[in-house]
Amino acid sequence: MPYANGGPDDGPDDGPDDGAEQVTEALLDIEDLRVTFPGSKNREVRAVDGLSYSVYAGQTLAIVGESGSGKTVSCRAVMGLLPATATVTGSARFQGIQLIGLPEDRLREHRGADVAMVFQDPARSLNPTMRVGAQIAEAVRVHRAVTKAQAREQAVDLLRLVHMPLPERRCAEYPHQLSGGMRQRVMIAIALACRPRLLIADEATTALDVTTQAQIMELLLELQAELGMALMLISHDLGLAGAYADEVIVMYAGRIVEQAPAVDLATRVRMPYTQALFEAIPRLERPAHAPLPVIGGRPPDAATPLPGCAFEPRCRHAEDDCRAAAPPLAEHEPGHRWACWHPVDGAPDVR
Amino acid sequence: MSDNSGNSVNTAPLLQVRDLVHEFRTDLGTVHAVSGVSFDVRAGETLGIVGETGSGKSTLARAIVQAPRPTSGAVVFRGADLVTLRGTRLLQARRHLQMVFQDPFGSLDPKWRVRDLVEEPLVAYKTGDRTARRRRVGEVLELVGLAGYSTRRPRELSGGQAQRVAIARAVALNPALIICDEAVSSLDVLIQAQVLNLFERLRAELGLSYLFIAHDLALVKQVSDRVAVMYLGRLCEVGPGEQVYRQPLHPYTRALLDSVPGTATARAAKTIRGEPPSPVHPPSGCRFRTRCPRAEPRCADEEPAMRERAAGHVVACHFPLEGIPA
Repeated sequence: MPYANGGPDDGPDDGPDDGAEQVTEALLDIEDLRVTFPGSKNREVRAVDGLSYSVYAGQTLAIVGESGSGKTVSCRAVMGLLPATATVTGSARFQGIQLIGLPEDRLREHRGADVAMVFQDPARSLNPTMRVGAQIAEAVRVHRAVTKAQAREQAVDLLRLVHMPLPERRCAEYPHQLSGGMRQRVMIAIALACRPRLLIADEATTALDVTTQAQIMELLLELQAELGMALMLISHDLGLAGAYADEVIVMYAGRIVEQAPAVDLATRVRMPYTQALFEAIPRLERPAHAPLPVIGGRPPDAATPLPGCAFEPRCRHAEDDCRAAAPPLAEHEPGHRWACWHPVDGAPDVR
Repeated sequence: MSDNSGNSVNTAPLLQVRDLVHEFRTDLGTVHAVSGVSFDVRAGETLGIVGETGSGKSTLARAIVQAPRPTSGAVVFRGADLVTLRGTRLLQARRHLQMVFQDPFGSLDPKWRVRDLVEEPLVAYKTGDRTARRRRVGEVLELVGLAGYSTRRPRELSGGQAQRVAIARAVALNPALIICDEAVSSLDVLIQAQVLNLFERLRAELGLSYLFIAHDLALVKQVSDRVAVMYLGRLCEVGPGEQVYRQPLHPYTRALLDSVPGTATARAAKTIRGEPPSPVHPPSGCRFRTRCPRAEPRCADEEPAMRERAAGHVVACHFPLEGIPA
């Protein structure tokens, strides 16, 4: 156990044991989640438009999409972190408890303790005027009845857990004295302070260098295995998602357009949008100066939904039926769901 | 404009950077941001510079355009050493050397319209009369695919469109070299691909050269003829892109390549250890030695010199990979 230094008070809620007995039961079950915001001229903006998925203990699920695809909004809706103007409907059950519509004080019990989030910008999430040790200790004390001294000790242990070099010394430092990678380790330490069952990493490594990103991703997977957490990676980077996740969900215009085990998605992409995303990524294997195959246009205006498939205006394979009705998301192959009337076949062209 | 003979050996490089040093004082001590960097950019060529945060790559870019001026070294652009030029002579020399930065909105005044933003460098260099300038603005907006956007303001643009405006501004004065500092790093993947393709098209149509600086290895590979790898203020390795990526000679380049998600080795290989040392107290000898799996005592005592190990492929390492005889 990584908490060997944490003392005997670890309690029964930690460790993967109880999760292992109920592998088939989802930790988080999202059903028909919808989020709308009031737009101009009394039109509502559909940011998330009927989202359903499940996350299991020990699983790494990636949600991939461009800015505005609804990937971050959907997670914030589950966490109760959206502004009051947002209207959230549907169901999000965490270990059977319905989170949607739960009063703020009840939600706060779950936030941090059961579900924790790590964001892209650690500099903005940390308090610049507070030493990092005190910030971690504060997170520990919010959810646990421990003395200040015990919380301080646990802060050092948490920094050790996230492989921070010289954890005792770092505790006494301020965020600006740390590198970006070290600040992100502090954020992860804070997120882990209450040993959450589910950790949501929202573009958590996007701002980091490639070697630091690799370190943080390895750290997250290692902690996930040790603590039996479920891990959700919210990212715009299909390459990162494919390399580190078990399962990948691709979102477009507030909906899931494809969902598959990471290995299947890389070799048997079906939805033309996913294919376009794959092809547009510069890859080490590609020869220099070869034009990137790229689609034009932009995602549709979320305030004026199309009658048909939202991707149709940009799709090379679009036909009349795509304009007439939106294709439903269905499991066409075992474990592989997609929403498309004319799916493509085979591996994306990345050469 | 110098001639466009490109790779011809007897053509003087478009840009020659020699022993460039940039240091600045902070309350923590002197930051050795750039410590003796030398390279060439040939006419029509794209040189990519790969480096992580703190490698000094952005400081290097700014030192080249003399904003601020470097501590020492030479920056010979089209035959003139920018370091020795002042006032209008520097301004005129720099006219053909433009920059595109990471945050497109940060470099665009939110109150201006697109056409005025693109005209501004033409006004600053007193180019033609108003009619001629407006015609040029129309041309470059057409070139970057923003023909219908001349009366928009920055907030009415997407990130990709704003970056196109920044590129239009850079292209307006007919530059020979554009320095791109993380110019597509903040864009979504589909927009990023569009802007990368635009850079390539402008290169072909206008005979442009680029110094393309980024932390993303695949991105740099995509656009570059040659690639330089930078670590803690120094270049580790410079060579033809294909060769540097296929057969890296410096252990740091190898570590970078191994960290790319999705590569076969990425998950199996041990990720590079530790944090980069502080540029206030860089390690003696080879600056990578504190994290290098191949480091030996000699690496601490003696700074490795740049040595050519294969045609056009140089490396600064006492114990380079592959063991190609020098």
